[in-house]
Amino acid sequence: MPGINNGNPYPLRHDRRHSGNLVLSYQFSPSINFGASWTYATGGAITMPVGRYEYNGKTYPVYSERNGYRLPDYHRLDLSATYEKPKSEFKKYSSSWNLSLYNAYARKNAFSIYFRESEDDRNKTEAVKTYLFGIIPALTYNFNF
Amino acid sequence: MKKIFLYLSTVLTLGLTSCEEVIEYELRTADTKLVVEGLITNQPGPYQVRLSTTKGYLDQGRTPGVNGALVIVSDNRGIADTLQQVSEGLYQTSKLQGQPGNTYYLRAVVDGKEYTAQSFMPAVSPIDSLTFVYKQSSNENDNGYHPYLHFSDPAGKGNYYRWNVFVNGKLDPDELAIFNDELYDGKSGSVDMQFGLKEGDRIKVELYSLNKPGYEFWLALANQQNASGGPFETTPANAPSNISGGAIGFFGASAVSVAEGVAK
Repeated sequence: MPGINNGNPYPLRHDRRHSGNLVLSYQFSPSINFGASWTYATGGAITMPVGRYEYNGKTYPVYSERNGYRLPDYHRLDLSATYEKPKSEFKKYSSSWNLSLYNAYARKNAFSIYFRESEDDRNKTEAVKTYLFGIIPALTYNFNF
Repeated sequence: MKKIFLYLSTVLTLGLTSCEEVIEYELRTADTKLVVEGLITNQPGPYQVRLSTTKGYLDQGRTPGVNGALVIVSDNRGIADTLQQVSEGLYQTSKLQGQPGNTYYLRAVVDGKEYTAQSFMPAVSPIDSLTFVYKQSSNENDNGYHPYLHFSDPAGKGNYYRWNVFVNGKLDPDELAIFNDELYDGKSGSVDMQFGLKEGDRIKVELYSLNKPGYEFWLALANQQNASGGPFETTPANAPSNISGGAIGFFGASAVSVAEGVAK
């Protein structure tokens, strides 16, 4: 796009260079099933300050190329266990319990990164990441008729 | 059983809340660039050009000045002035007198590399007066006597302004404001400068005329001042320089109108 990044191409904020999913399912017994799913993706593209300069008595940043930096890689593991009640011949419905863990190893996947003055040392600038979801357990009851 | 639900809902709430954490993040340091800060005005000289270089974003200390450069400022009437270095990175004119309507040219040679820029000096309308109104503001820091700047915009769109504010003799770079006459073309009126002063504070306001590239440069600086780098903000951009040869910064020419007052 002319006028942005000097007319050079640049990656989008939500660009995923590499991404992959790994899914495992294990039927432990006729009524119990375990599942695992691992998701991996390259971090999104962001613009970062790469230098600074002084002008009119104040310090201003020099920015990288537009979206020239990457957030850390994104990955998480989801686990689930399902218990299905054996079907009884007299009943017309089936039901199951499902316990799942989203982001089982509680990876703090970065949503954004910004810089701020360190609170301990005013002369130091530190990077701060914002992350959204830690580990989330969920219990589900399914009922079919 | 009840306790389990309580526990689960607590975990869920915590899990859904976003958190912040200090991390190590490695930044490449960009190649060092020359920074040019130069301004010719219609006030009596000398005028100054400051040459410095950029520093890594996380590096400490001030940015270093550039010494031993050849700096020449000339105008479209054929007057050329070779600047004398007066302190670290600071160069000063000796005979040039700025005048609205002229175009000014900068030529700087640093380590055999040449950088050039040019800037037209638009006229500025004089400030009529400076008045004060006591105001309570939503931001507590802005409570106090708000200065109001009264001036008339000349007819015809395309007038750009910025101001510098000196409170009790000291430049306050945070009160940088950039504006244009897109909405107020040809009108006379007053602008709330949107900050508070204590009673008895001395204030000096310098109103600068800007050409369009100058407006865009200063506007980008003002936007960078207001940006905090949060996740929902627009992607930041560098201030567009008018220096050719790969330097950053701006060589500008502005007519200035000055008003002074005491808050009461």
